[in-house]
Amino acid sequence: MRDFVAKTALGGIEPRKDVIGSLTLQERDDIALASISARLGQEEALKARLETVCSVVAPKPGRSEQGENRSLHWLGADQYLCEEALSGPLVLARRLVDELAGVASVTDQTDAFVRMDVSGQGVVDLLQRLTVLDVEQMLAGAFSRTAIHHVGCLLRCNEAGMAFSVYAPRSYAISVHHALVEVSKAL
Amino acid sequence: MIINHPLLGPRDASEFTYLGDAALIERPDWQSETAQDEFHDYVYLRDNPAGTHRELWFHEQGDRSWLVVTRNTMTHEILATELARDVARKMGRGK
Repeated sequence: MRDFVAKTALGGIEPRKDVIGSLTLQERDDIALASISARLGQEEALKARLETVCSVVAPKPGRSEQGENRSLHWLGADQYLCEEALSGPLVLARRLVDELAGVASVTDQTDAFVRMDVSGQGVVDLLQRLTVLDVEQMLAGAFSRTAIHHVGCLLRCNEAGMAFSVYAPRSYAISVHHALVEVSKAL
Repeated sequence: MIINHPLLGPRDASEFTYLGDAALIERPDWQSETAQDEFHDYVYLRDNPAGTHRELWFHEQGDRSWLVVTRNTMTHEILATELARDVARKMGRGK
């Protein structure tokens, strides 16, 4: 039992990095995620509480807000995704359960998604071929769920036209990575 | 076709899936005396208008919200979009 080896979502020991022309794809295994859903009637109370515990305002639809240690992404009406640096299994979710007690339900999503950062010249051309979103119009902080190769993924713009993060379901990590790599090569 | 999402703005229709007549929100009370007849009508009978039609669309590849979309079935023009939960609440459904 003690001989288990922790692997990243893409199957490596270290997070995978691909450099294809001017584009860089970087797998991230150092982030924690937890989804937050407001309890019925607690929608406004949750927004206020989030501002206190995440040091950032609750994002508006289609947006992501970056705080000092945590960022919040808008997932749906009265639903958010919280992200911070990984400090251990379930740490973020357990903290949020306490911090948001009574106003929200919290689910750990750290092992549900893998984040892949895509950056460099041509990233807009790459994503235009993979999603129906108007990627060229996305500004820093834009966040949306979208389909990439028929897989429901989350997409955040970190720097307009230059840097994006794709959050793919972990069970589809290799398929989505394959799509990103193959389309990057074909640009 | 572009659907103007009430929260997210204009989104491609390919992100949505279609369910059908928005009258499906008005599910009959199963404890009513006439429940059997009401459920017969609810399940089997639909209006099929040539013109304005209110229908349910699901934002499957987006925020997974249900919308009530008012669409002209002859021109495909979309006249209005609302969150289905807001429509249901206005009708006294849900909480």
